[in-house]
Amino acid sequence: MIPHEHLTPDEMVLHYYSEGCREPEERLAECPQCRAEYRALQRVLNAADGYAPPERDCGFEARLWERLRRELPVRQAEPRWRLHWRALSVAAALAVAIFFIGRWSAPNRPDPALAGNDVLMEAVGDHIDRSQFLLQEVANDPRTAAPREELADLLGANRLYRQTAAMSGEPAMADLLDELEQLLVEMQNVEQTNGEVREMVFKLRVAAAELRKAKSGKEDRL
Amino acid sequence: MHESEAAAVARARTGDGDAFRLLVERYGRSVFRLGYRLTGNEQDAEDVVQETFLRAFRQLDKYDGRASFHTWIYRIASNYSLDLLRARRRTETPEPESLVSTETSADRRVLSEQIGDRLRQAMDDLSSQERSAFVLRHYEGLSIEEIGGVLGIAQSATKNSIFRAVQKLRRYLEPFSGGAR
Ligand SMILES: [Zn+2]
Repeated sequence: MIPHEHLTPDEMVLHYYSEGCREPEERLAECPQCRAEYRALQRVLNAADGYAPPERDCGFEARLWERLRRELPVRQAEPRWRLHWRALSVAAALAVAIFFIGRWSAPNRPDPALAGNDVLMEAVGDHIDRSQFLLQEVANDPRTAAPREELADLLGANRLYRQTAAMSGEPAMADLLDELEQLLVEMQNVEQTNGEVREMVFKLRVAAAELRKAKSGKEDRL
Repeated sequence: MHESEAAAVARARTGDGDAFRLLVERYGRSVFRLGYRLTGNEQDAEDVVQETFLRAFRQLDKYDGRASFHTWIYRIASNYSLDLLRARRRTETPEPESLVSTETSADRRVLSEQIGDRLRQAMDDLSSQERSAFVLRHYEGLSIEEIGGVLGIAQSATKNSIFRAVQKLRRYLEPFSGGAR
């Protein structure tokens, strides 16, 4: 048997960061002194994990963008493209939501203790449908400038569902509703042309179709 | 790289602000965290975030998509932080600032605050190269090879920087991290 040679501190550091070869493992296994040294190093480096940057508040990105926008030769945000990107991101969020709704409505849901959320999910599903229906209406009728009352109604409901979702431990759903809310607010505040709305509705419809497909695929697997 | 990210990069290159904004929103926070760990203070970290994205935008046509956008933007952030560190090294004393500790009992909080203070002192005692190498290895998980690429130094020099950083951290933290050697 080869006589044991203690690991050097540097070898231990490489081992901690998985940068060395496998050999230190064997040397650690055969020597209590090396193991003790290595544990001391682990404690120090684990403690270093506590060097945590201060949290930024939720307006961080918006402020950062405001500062950047002033300095960059970017084209001013056009409503058309803003809506385009927003619709895409709402669609992505929708994917997450429908996935979860699919899970909730599956009969062999893993955790029956959470069944209370079924009611919420059911109601939220209706709400999402209604939101899409409204967008559809606006797109179809060229004379509809902005269905203010309906929009306000949906916004009110949306806030309620978003808060409920957040409190019921449904962060993905709360995020989606937050996204939808911003979109509804934007529709309320900005006069959108029918074309823009139609484009958004189309994207939402495509996304919804994709999601239904994904959901039914998901249910088939369950 | 995500398809949507590649699309955002391509659009941003044409001057599309909304597309670039998407990238800013996706990576702003992690660039801030990196900048904070590298420079050790909030103002500099804010500066790092802003300058990183300004530089990224101006260099977008040099981004060839071989590295992930994430790695690429980290490289810009690290290099700028390093410039800051070199320029400001020891010209100002770091302001004391308590580390956020959200953990359990009061006793543990006191201990972790002590460790936090020591950690901050230890980090400030590192040379800019030691600090960068350590932060990129320990917190960002870059390999020694990648770090060498970011910092523009040889792998052996990268390793030595990390070794020295860890030695210093041990000196500062070992009395607090429980268990004597
Ligand atoms: Zn040994």
